[in-house]
Amino acid sequence: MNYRIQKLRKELMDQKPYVDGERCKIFTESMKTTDGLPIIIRRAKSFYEVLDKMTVWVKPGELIAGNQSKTAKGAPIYPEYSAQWILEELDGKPYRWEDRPGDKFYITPEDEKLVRECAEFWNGKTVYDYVRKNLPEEVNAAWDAGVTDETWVCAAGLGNEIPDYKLVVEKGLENVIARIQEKLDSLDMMEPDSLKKKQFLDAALLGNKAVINFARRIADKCEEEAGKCEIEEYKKELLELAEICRNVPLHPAKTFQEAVQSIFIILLAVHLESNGHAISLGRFDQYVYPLYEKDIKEGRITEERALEILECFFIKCNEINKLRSWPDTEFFMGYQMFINMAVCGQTADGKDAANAVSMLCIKSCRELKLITPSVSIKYFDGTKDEVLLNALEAAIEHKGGMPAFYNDNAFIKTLRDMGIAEEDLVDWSPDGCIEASIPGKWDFAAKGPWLNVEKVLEITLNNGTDPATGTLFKKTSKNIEDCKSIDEVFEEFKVMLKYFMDLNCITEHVNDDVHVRYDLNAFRSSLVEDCIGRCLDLVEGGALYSADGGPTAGSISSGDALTAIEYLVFDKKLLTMEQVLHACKTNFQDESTFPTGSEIQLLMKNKAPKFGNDDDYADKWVVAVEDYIGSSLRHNYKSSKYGKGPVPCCFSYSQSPVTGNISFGSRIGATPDGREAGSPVNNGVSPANGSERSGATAACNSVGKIPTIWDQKGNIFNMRLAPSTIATEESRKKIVSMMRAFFSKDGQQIQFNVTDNETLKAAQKNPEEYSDLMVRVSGYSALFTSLGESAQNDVINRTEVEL
Amino acid sequence: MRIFNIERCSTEDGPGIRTTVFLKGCLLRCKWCANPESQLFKPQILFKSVKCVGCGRCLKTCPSGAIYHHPDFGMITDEKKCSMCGRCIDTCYADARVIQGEDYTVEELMNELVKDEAYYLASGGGITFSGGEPLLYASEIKECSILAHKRKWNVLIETCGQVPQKNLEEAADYVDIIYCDYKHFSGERHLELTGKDNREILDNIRWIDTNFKGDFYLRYPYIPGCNDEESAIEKFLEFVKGLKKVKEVIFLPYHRLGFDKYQGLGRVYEMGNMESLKVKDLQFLKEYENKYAVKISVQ
Repeated sequence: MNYRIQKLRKELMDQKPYVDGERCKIFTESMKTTDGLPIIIRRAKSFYEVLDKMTVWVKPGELIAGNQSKTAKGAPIYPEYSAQWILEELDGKPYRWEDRPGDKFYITPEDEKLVRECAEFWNGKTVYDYVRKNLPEEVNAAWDAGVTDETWVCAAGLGNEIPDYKLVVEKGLENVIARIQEKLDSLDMMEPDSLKKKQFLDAALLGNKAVINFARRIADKCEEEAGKCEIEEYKKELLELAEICRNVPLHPAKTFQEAVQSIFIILLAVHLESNGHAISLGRFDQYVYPLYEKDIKEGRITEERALEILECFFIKCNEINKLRSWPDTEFFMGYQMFINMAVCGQTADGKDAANAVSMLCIKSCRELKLITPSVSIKYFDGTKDEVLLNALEAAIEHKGGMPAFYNDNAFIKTLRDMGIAEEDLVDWSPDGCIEASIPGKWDFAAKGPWLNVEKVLEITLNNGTDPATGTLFKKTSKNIEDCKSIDEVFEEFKVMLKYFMDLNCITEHVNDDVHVRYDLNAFRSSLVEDCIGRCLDLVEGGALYSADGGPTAGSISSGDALTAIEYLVFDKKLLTMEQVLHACKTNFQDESTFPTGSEIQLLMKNKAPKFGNDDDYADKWVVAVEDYIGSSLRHNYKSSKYGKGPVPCCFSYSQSPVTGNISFGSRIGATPDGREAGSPVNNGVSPANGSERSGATAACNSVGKIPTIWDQKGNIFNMRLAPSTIATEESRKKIVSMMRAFFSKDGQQIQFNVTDNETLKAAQKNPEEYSDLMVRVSGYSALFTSLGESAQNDVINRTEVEL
Repeated sequence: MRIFNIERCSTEDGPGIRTTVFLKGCLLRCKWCANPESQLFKPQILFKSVKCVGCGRCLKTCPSGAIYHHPDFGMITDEKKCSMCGRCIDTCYADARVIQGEDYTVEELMNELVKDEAYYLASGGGITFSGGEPLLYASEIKECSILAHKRKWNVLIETCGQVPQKNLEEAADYVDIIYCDYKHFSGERHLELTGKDNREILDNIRWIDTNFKGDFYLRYPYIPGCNDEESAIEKFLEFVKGLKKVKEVIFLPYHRLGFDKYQGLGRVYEMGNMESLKVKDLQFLKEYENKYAVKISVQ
């Protein structure tokens, strides 16, 4: 990192996140003047106004310009999606933003006044209000009980899109505008459906003009700053940036810097249009590389300068922020915007696609150690060891699991099974966390209600009633105590899962209906094929591809719970079902029983086999749960866009819970896997905390048994490594080999967390939470918590020196 | 084969990702032994104090009255009384008791080992037989190794050298790598430290050096107060200089990771409070490389 980047990075780190009232003020004012016009036009007009009137700033020294808010990391407010929580939280319910336990935000009195006014105007008329108003009673009940949750999208806007950056870089928005114009010219206004088409096209045209105007404003600002700038180098750069922003994104990018700047403006604009997150970058290295290569060949740029530009871009991505309601924040802790960047992978003809830009992206990730963009390595059989090793080393330095590794083989199989065209398959990219999309062609349809799978099991074990709220959802066909085998219990669980998956399907249909009426975004739609051709917004079915389905949490934990019941009740007969249910109901606290509540918990934790140890006894239940949920979503449910153009319009399984496993866990009582009431369920498809006892390869094998064919929206596998495990290049090569072997089993994704001594010490205090922590002992590696206390101390003492 | 531990995903010794099979029983009794549960041939019950919740259920369950509460070590099993019925393990909900030593047929062991085949093949790894003294199971190792080679896994043996030479002869042709320990040049001192003199070990080392076709490494556990005097090191390296095929000499710094296991078996740790050494403490040994024309590393 040179001086410039160090300085910009430090400024980013030192910047406090502020809530910004500007966008909501401009938007609301505009909406007040457009009553009576179609919503798509109204939103396009206000989008234009926002981009035309919002503050634009540029800092000398920046090589990429543009901003989402008055201040870096500031969060614009989108009160049209939901407003009540804004007013409540401003009043301190449950926290004012500056007093939150996590993801704090600050606000000035002036902005607070603007935000309050706007929120009061929208309160009761928001997307969130309308969705809840339209939902059947049982959905609202499931939501309130923490079995499902849909706050994240309808209260906060759609995101999860990978716009067609390749198109913008290669052909510019002028190409989009030309196609819109051509379509407009071809409309026969005597045809009955032409009016609606024209409305979409007019809005899309206005949206594109808004973005070009925005780029012009950034260019003007660059010139203005250049005029004030005393440092010759920066002055020159600002003038160059002004030139660049006059060229892109309207025209094709002529240089590497233009390409990156063009992408950043699109990224900002899509964020500013709706209130989304997970607006990702797709195969960034692939569409930027031709310009890098040309610049290098023609002597316009050095590798060093390209890295500098890229690092400026990374820093700029971290300036984008979003204020979520507190309940939503609990699901998405960490100011995360999920701007995912895919690199490496394969070309259309099956060759290694890793290039110099891929390596520079990995290097930026390694040097900057930022939370976004999430650099994702697309792995295929031809990915070279040196690339994987380099990325692993970057992840080790980054420490937060980035870059992560994604398996082309597994995702391509899944997408092929869903009917995605053969020529699009290699371009799949993780959108957000891991959700597989085809850039520029996919309506991600993130309006997925969450499903709390272990909660569904809890309700099943309580014969259909949620013990916390007392709500009876669906009576089981018989009392659980009367089940004669684990298969009978599983049958009841399946029926209950179906009940809640049905509710989620209904929720999505309602959600789509409300979004079609209130939340159309023509600009972002114009960058996804074939919205212009069909004259439809994304939410109306404009995209080539679409699949619904929201994240789930706790599938693994529920499999472990079934295993424990099978083992303890039906197989070893150590406990009766009544004892299991009583112990769970009393949260293992009833010491008057024999065995006591705490002993039953120990039995569940220690004696019952657990997923993550390559033991089919336990793994088979996880596979059964996964197969049931995954195949049902794929084959039994259709999204509201079905038949309107996109394919396949099924639902998809996602096990990418962000921090939802903690939030959902807090709503579940004690469960037969030995989990205490309120504690988290497993994360992604990682074995539940405390259950991984047989080492990394065994864990990989268990995860490798999961039928990933259903998981188009992906599953996350976290592996925690102690720094000593990866201390030498030889040991890192072994990790790379382990990854190859895991991916040969169609594992989808793996990410490594590297742990320091502080964590080792915490692991001693709470061994349950760190049972998967690997350390190097003497001549071999072992699970840290499997060692005795003095051996642990010994390792800690040694590790401190090695670090 | 009596096995006390199968460690999957071993990455620190030998090539690639390996599964290490720890075979039970050893003829030496090294004072610093880090695996006290490996020494006896018969199965034992190891108590893990960190896991024990103190319910005392094991005391009540044991039909032979073999379990007693040791004031410092916890719920220890008297090996003379224990019939290895395993009931105390079943009733220990906390998982604080574990049997060390279970019998496997070659087929049963192969079924375990094959689980990580993908990792051996991706990394150029395989199987490590450790112990205890693995060569006391030479014919089974031979059998396993033949099967392993068919599947393209490599085989490594970690031996202390204290085995009848015929065992070595039986297995050596079927393994790829041998790690053999060397503890002291003086037979007398060797007897004090390990319970045996070093004649058989030195003979076996010479036999390996002459006859073994694979990669041969000598390992020297560096134990302060036992074999760390300069003269001992030089004598050892002088001996190595006289050998032809030693690929590398590996010094292993003393560590006290076995401490908890001594307690769990109801035994006193003979090394007292001596602190573990660190890899960097032994870096000075690399300076002998030139003098003795041998490659030296510290692990």
